[in-house]
Amino acid sequence: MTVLVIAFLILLALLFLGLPIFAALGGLSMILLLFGHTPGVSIGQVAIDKLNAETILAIPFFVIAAQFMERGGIAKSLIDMAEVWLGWLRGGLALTCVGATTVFAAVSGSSVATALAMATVLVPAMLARGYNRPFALGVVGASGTLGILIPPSIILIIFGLIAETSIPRLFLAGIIPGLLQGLLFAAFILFYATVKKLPRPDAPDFRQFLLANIRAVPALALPLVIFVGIYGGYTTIAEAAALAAFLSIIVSLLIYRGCSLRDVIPATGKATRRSASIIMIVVAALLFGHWLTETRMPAQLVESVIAIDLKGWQFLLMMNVAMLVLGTVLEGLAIVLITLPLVLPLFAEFGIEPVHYAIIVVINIELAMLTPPVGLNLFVLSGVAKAPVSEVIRGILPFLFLMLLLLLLVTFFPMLSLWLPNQVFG
Amino acid sequence: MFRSIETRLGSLIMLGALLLFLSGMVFRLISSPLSGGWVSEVSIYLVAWGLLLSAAGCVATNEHVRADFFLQLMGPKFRYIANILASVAGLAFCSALTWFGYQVVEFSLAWDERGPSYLQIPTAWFYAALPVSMAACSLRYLMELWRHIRTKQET
Repeated sequence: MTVLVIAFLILLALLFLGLPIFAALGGLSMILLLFGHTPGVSIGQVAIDKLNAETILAIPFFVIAAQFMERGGIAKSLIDMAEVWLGWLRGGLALTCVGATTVFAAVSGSSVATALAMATVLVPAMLARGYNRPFALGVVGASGTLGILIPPSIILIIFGLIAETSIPRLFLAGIIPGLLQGLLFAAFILFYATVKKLPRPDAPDFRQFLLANIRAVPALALPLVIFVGIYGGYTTIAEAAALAAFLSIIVSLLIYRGCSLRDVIPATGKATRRSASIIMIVVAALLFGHWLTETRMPAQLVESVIAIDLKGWQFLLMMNVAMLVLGTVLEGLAIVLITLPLVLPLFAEFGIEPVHYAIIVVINIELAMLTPPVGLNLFVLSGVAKAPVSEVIRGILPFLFLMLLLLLLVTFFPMLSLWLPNQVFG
Repeated sequence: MFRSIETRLGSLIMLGALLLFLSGMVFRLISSPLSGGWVSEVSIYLVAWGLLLSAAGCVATNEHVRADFFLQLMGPKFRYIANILASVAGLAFCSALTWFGYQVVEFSLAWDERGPSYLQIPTAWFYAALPVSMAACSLRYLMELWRHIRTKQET
């Protein structure tokens, strides 16, 4: 156990020195494995073997889908549709943001892509209608995190790969907490809009309503294809991701014309690079997990936990605090990949469903994306709106409290995440 | 737009894999004689190549995820040393994986390992993605290291 603590401290030091996460985690794991006399050929094998699985295809394909949705006009059509439904309410544009993000998230598995797509259209629109800038930025930043909770979610795919848990089950588990998060945000927005007397625009006429809905049909067809494909048993996760990517490209090119044929290769290249940076961290985490297994570290951890008589809820609370603290300084995916191999064997001991834990992890990552100093969405919004990060943080603060409330609800009421997958899969 | 050849290659391979994989799905749905495990196998190989090659592209465009918050709080001298350290660590890790990856390929060739589909593709073709791409990453890190050292000399 002492080795593990020392290794963890060295890892944190390397990360704070600004080393790429994959090099810090992978390099340290490699040294530890070599010290344990693991042959180099086994290290190479561990690094590449997990990539030889069909599920891995889902990661780049969903990132490609998100990339085209972000720039291909799909986001705009969803925003227009949500606006005719919700825009006439007080605080309607903010509600539009939550509504459009919820649908957008059902195709995009990335939080940053979701926040970026919404911010470019909605932040200027909200400012033009007299919304206060921190509030506008807070709504978009916080809603953007729905991208990784509402399925499909890249984080849940990676969790499924590492924990060897059913990905369709994980996807279903994210739906109720995701909708609950959307409802909590909507309730707060309505309250805020009433108190601050935000403008209440006229309701759209029937023609506008119809046109916006018709224009959004191709965009709405994307999540439908994914869900019917996966849960109707027609496609695997990877095939659904490929369909999402292909349809996003076609819809962007031919229907919304948000990008041209010339943009396809560069946009795919950008998405592939994004996926590659994720995959390299996954490879490093696999090496770390291999070292943990070789040294029987998880078994020792289980013994220690039994010795101190820790309860399941205490463990979950402890992990939440640890992830929240780590989330302020580390990238969300890294936290999952560093901690998951270690805590995986404890689930059986505590009677915790991996699916339940996965949703807790995702909400923690959402929080990590919004907490300074390294919250990714903060910087995305600051860049798009040309606003200081401090202003974004001020706007996001109330939503952070709502998400903490959601985290507690999901932690203490496992049925929120387990009910739907249990109904569907038994 | 393309700051590295690896990205262009990665992008083309990924689009190829996407089209092939979708064709496989269509073949299966229409029960075509062309359907079978080979589509999935080749797509996986292509995606692995595309992703790992793009990892080198990420080095070129500085897109590998790093927690650089504390680094921003430090002085230029500390940042300079930390950047050199990051390049050295990246270079060391990628060079080691190049060597270990090469061993995996050699091992696979020696045992004449082949994929599960009727194409009987040597798995060494898949494993080769690791040493080739990690060699590309090493080269990129070497260039980055050289750039850091030269920048200091110029200032």
